[in-house]
Amino acid sequence: MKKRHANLLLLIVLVALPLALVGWQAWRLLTSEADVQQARYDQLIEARLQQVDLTIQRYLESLASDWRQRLPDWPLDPREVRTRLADEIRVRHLFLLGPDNRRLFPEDPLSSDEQAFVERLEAIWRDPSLLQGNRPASESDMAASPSPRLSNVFRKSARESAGTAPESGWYMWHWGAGTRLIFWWKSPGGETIGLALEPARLKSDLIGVLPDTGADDFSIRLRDASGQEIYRWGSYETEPGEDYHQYPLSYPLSSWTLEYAGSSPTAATAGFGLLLLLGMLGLVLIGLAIYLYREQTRELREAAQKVEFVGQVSHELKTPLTNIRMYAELLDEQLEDDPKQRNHLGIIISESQRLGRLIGNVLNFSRIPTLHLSEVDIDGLVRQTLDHFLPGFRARGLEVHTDLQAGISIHSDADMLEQILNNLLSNVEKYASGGGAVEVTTRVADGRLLVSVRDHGAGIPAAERRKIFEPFYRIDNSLTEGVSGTGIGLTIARQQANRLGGELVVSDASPGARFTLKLPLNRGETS
Amino acid sequence: MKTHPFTLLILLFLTSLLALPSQARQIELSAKLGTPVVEAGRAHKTFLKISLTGFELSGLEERTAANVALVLDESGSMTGKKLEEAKEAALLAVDLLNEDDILSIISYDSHVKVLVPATRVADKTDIRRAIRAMKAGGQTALFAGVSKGAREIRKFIDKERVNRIILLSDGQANVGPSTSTELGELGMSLGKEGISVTTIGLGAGYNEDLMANLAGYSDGNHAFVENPEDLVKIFNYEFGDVLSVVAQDLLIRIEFEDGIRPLRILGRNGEIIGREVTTRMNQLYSDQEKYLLLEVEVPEGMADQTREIARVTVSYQNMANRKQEDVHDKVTVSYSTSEDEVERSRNREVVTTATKQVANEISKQALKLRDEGKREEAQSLLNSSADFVRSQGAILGGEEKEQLEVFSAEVESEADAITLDEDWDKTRKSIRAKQYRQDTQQNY
Repeated sequence: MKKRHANLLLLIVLVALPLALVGWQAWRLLTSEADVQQARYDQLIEARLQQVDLTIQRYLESLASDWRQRLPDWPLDPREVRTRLADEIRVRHLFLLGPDNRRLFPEDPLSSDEQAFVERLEAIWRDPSLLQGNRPASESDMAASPSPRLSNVFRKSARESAGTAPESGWYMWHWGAGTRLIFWWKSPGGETIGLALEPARLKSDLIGVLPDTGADDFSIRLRDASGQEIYRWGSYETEPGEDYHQYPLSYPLSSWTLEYAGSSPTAATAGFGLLLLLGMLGLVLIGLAIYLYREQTRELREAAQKVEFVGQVSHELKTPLTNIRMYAELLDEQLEDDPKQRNHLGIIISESQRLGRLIGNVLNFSRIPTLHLSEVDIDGLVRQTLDHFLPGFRARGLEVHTDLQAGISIHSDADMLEQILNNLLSNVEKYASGGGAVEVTTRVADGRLLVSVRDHGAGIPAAERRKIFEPFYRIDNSLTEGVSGTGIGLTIARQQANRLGGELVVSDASPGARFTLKLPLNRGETS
Repeated sequence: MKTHPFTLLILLFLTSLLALPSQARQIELSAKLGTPVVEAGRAHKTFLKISLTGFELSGLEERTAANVALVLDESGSMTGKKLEEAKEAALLAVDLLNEDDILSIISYDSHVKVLVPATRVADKTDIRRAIRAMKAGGQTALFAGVSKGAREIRKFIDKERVNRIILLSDGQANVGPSTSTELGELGMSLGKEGISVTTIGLGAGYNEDLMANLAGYSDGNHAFVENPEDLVKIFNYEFGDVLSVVAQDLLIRIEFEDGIRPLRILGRNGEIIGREVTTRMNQLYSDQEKYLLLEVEVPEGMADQTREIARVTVSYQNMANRKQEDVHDKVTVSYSTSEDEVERSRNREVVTTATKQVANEISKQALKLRDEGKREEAQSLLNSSADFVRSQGAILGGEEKEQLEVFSAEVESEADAITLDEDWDKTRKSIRAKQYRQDTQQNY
């Protein structure tokens, strides 16, 4: 049974170990896959938001380039410039600075709206160079230095002949809680025109160029400088507790932000795939294990079947054998003292005894016999058993010495004891007859009965002393060659000794080997 | 002397040329003072009415092509009857247009969807399908809806088309810019671009100031529709206007002579810079009158003196012949010592109009007081306004008296309603819409 458990354990390990290994690798793959997915996802977000930023930049650039084209034609006169304002649909306020940076427009008297405008941009009137302050260095810096001899009259022609690009740029002015975007342009003559965009219009135009909502797995919101939402697109709905990621826009709208939220990358499906793979692998391994297990047990089952069969056969053989023996013994009594006849009969009887022992061994091997306990006179039993072997021993030149000192009866199974002795003596007859002598002793010592059979044969090498008790094992040497044997004799003998509550041991006798049967005196059966 | 037959022939030919009727139709401009004759010896305040009337369109074939964006609210509050009727109204719009017209349909809740990008109204099936597929749910991104509508309009924007956004909303704008100031600023900007926004408020939940501002600054129409079943009718009226535009992009410039002071413009947005008054109107409709009413101060003058006080120029895009045209008029005032003459020469029509407009301004003040919680003040203001209107009617007599009696009664019922709590949101919307119609001479 222990072997059975061991096998099962082995098989489980066989399945579990590769599964665990693969699982671990899969886990590592998944986490690194998740990292890659996350990185790709972050890149995707970056790309999407950059696209939005680019769209907005392009829009602003289109406004700027349109103005750069048209502003050179504007009259730089405060009265005239007002008419232009009326036509500019995107401009809320306009300012005009002279070449000396004095504010020419709006000029007094101011409407209340203009008043507020002038007050807010106080810092610019004081220092118009602020306008150039916070732009990135990418703007072209090619301003023609105005000649002091140029007057308004010649200004137009001067612009044409200067041939250099006038300065222009954006400026984000913080207006209370919000911001105003200003486009400024400097003429070659040194005047500055500033266009303050109508915030509602700017937002509306941006909404126009930004995408509208389709079937989407993301949601983007555009917020102005005060955090107010301007526009949102993308129909993704956030989970409770899920936050938007914030990203600022590029200059000049750097105080505006984009917010992004979207569905996480599909790590779920990758994991699912891997899990499926693992599951299939597991199933395959389990299938394999089951197959192997069945294969192995099949051998065992087949072996068991064979043993069972043999046992059955042997049992069948027992009955006719008993008859042969019985009638042979009867004949033995009835016969006259004819030595030849007596001899032939003796051989029949001893061979049938031998056959009986053989069958008994096989039967014992294949079944667990029940014990039949009785009071057994040990010494008598030993003597009886020896008697059966005497002819055989004499034929091989084996001298028998006995020293039966037990002098007791024990409560045990007589048959079984006899079979143990039979096996031991049979072995001596087969393998140790070269020693010329065999000693059988019985003794009581330490509360135990000791029965030992000692031969003067070649002995059992130390390495073999354990193996000889294993089933079907026979020492491979010249002694065993040519001698038929099942290899189960000692196996059975030991099993039986154990069954009787004792043990069977072998020790070196030099020359020869000593087999000792040790039995407890108090109990006659094992649990 | 016997007339040579050849000469006769030439004469005949010349006269026949003269007899040919002039094919060119123009808008009618008439600038009239309330009191064209004033008492000599002192300064006077009087009203100047600049009236513009669109010429008649002879048939539907010659109507101007339209470029319309329908911006429809499909927020959660539109579920049910409201959305059904809105769809019907939109389907009506599709029926009224043909393949010369451009139509785009935008629907908005928390997000904006361009259901039908700007396209010629040729394949109506697809458009109808898109309309029927609308579903309600979400918040109200009104600003974004209008912005996307404007963008669609811009794809085909043309001076020779009527460019119009028709916005329908039933609720408070709550996604994106949502104040009535911001929407007004957007309206102004769109108006400058030649795009008018007509705002139709459905039910009692929308922000009437926001909707009126958006329409007012962009020179569109504004309507308060209490029952969804009336939507189709309103859309019909609106398209009646859209498809009858005869002049666009009108710029009215009044140059006053030295000494004349323009005091205020009633009912419209405009600029008074020194002695010049400018105002814009986005469009003028066939057979309809729109006017600009100014209060001016006429300096004192001597008896029997007549002087020109203002020159009026209106430049506009004539949609019939696709030309940029001007019309002009002059305003003169006379001085007299005779009270009789002053009374007789009084322009009853201008005085009636002025009375109504003044009453309208007072109505706006009353509404402000009511918003501040000063109900009694608001009521007494309106009651005195009603009295004023009635007294003006009494002075004028005749059919004007009847007109003003009716108007006065309306002001009185407004005075009664203004102190009530019940249904105030509906009442306020109704009052606001009425004020709007008075300001802009809306046709429906």
